[in-house]
Parts: sequence; structure tokens; C-alpha cells
Amino acid sequence: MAQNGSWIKYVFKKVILRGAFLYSGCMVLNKYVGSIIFLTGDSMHPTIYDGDVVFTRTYNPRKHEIKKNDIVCVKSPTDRGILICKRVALLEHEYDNISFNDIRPSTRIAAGHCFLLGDNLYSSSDSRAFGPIPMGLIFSRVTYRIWPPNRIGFIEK
Amino acid sequence: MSTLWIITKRIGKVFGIISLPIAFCETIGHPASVVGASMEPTLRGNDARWWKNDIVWLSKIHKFPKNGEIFTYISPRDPKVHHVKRVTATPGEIIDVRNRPPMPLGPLEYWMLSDNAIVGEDSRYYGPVNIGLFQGKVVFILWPLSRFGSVD
Repeated sequence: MAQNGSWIKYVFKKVILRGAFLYSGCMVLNKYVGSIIFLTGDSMHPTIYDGDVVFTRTYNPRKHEIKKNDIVCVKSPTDRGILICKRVALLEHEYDNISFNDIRPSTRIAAGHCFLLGDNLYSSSDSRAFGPIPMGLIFSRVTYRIWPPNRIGFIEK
Repeated sequence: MSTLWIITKRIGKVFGIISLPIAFCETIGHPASVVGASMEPTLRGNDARWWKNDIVWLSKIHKFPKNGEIFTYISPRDPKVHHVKRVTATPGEIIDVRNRPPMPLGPLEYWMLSDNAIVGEDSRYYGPVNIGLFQGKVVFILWPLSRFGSVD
């Protein structure tokens, strides 16, 4: 009977250990390589539709460079725990000619910040609402669409 | 059992063993070395000799930042750089600093100040820091042993 008990314990340990390996492996992949993300919402019509599934490449500021018109997933500056997916319209030091505002004169995007804009200007909450965001909030770049099958391919600039 | 499955299991196990400490560092915490004098006298990092700079334990398990706690975060000015400063105002509190009109902080914004006000860039320079930039909470000084213990 003691042998029976230790067999269960051994299997249990195997499940826990494999679970820990799997969890860690997925976390490392997500943090250092990229992920597969299911996108929702209309804010990126016509580039990205509701329900598209894409590959993303995690952003490492020391290795990668965010260029203008890249589509990025950023940690939302207004809602904790949500990733929002928008296009980088302006980079640091560029003049902000998008936030049309009679009160505020044309300002420059601060160092280390970028201005996000959804492709569907009518239905997108982006930097026009919450202002330029620090690049440290950028989590990944969207590279390739893998669903739906009729629109598989690299994301258009 | 096919050799393909055995190979997959082996690769998976190796990848898992390597990933486990990395995941630990990301979810539980890791030690980190202090650079710069902006948090003197609490944290010292201004010596070229590495063993003279403080080593602290950064915890990834923590509750929402409160006033007085020390956190590391990605600098809003340069995403390659991490800053370590103390929380002096939490969301909703009103900031009254020169050159800025008194305004309450947004729902996810924190005001970070250096303990050593003369040195270092902090919120007086780049404004409030969004919680999405926060990386870890400084809880313990691990080195030097003469100052081992909780911060403050």
C-alpha cells in the first residue's frame, strides 16, 4: 500500500514539474520571442479586422527599433492589464500635427515617446485621447497575419 | 515510443529547465544592482567598484504602489533605461510642482522622486510614471551585509 501511495506522488510530481516547465517555457517564449494574438475591435480597419489572429514579435528596446507605421501592441495607459493594438504614427521629436486643438499649439513628441493612431479614425481610442505614450509601454510588434486564411500574409504598411 | 517523441520530450525538458529560473525571475523576483546616486542615502550605487554598490532584491509580487515605497520602472524618456525611485504621490493626489499647474494624477499615474533630490532625473523632469512601466519593488538590501534588511 505504501508503494501505491508513492507511485501517485511520483506521477503528481511529474505533472507538477511538467506543468511548471510548460508554464515557464511559454512565459519565456512570450517575453523573448513573441506570441500569437487574437485581435478584437474595429479600430484598425481596413488593415486588421475583428477576429484576426497574428504573430507578434516582442519588443526589446535594446535590439529592435520601432519605425514609423509599425503596428504595435502596447500596454494600455488607461486600463490595467489590457493590450491595445495601434499603429505608430509619430516617433519622438516629431511635430504633432494630428491632435487638432485650437488651445494647444503644435507640440513635439517627447523623447522616448510615440504617438499611436488607429487606422479607423472614427472608431479608435488612441493617442488623440490619451496623448503620446512612452515606448516602454510597447510590448510587441505585429508582424504576420495567420487567420483568416484568405488574408494570410504580412501586415501592410 | 517513437524517437521523435523522445527527442521532443528531451528538448522540452531542456527548454523547461532553462526557462524555470527565468520565469522565477519574472514572476517572483530577482536581485539587481543599484547604479547612480539618486537614491542616497537609502541606496548607494555611485561607486565604480561593483562590490561597493548596493544589491537589492526586486520583488515582482507586490500590491499596488503606495507612498513611500521604492519601485523600479522603465524610464519614460528612454525605454532602454531603468530608474529606481520612491513613490511620493498615487493616482488621484494633486501634484504641486513648479512649472506645472496643480493637477490630480490620472488613474494609473504615479509621481516618483529621488531621495537625493540634487542628483538624478525623476518625475520633476519627466512627469508622472504610468504603472505599465513599473518593473519591480525594492524590498530588501542584500549587499553590503552591513546594511542587510528591509529598505526603510
